[in-house]
Amino acid sequence: MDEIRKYTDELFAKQRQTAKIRDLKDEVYSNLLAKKQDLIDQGFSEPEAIAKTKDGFSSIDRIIEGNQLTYSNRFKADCLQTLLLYGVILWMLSIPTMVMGMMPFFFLTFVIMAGLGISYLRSKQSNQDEIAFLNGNRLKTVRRTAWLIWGTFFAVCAATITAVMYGSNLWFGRPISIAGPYEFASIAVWYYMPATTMLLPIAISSFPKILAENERDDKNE
Amino acid sequence: MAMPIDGISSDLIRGHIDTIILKVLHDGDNYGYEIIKSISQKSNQEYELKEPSLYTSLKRLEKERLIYGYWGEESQGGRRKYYHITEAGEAELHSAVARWLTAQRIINAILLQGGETNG
Repeated sequence: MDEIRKYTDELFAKQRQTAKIRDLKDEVYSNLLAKKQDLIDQGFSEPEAIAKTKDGFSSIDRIIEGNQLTYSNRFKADCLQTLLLYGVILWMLSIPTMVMGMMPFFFLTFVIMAGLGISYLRSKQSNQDEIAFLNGNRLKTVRRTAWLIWGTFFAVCAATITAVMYGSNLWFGRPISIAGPYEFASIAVWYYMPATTMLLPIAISSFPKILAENERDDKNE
Repeated sequence: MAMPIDGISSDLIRGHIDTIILKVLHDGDNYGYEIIKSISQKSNQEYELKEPSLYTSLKRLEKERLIYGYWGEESQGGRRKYYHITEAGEAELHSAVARWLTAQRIINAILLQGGETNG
């Protein structure tokens, strides 16, 4: 394999092989090759020409669609802050379940909240001026995936709980009877707890906006 | 080769890269590396467009439908992607040149007034 091909492969090593990326890679390769040939025609030796060609194009970060120069640590801290906020809401939402005897759930949400709080404080300690290329398109895929996973999770939870509680009623065709408000609450809490996890995809949904807010002007564009 | 221009002049040119590329394609269809060479030649080797900037600009122009890309025949150099300026691109080039002339006239009028700051 020729040197320029190898170099192009390295440049694109981290990219997913979509049709768009393959096209871009072919384009970059043919241009690098043209540059190398041109330098050789100007009198450079082949190793010199290759070195100069590589120097002129050291990274594809700037040309990948959706990539954005970002204050990466500020972005992380802002995301954790959002997660922490929703963590506090989750903990508050778990307070009523304590009344229904769901102490483990209450403690679990407390631990989650505390963990997020510590992560947030630690993220504030990192170098807030660090910059990196982050991809907004990929973040939107993450958001979609988060909702998909949550939707599946909740559907499975609800189906399981319904099956466990009312399976025999449905099987034997007996009517479902709820004796009073307390019994209703003790049933509802089993649907309520998995429903509160919805806060996670809600929090993740704000990440693309947080990314945009932490954009840094690209002076080398 | 002439002295490469300093960063500040380069900053001033950066805002016009899209127009410059449109101008190159106005002169004829071309592919990436030849566009850079052509710009370098037109500027008497005083300005060299960086490769990452070239791709960003080409993608942007393509998205705005001012140019479109097509693949040339396969050769030893692999698949070469050529670009062609569209009618909208020609119109944009025309008005960008007019905008530039206006800005140049205004800035000249302000900065070169009386000739005191000439130097």
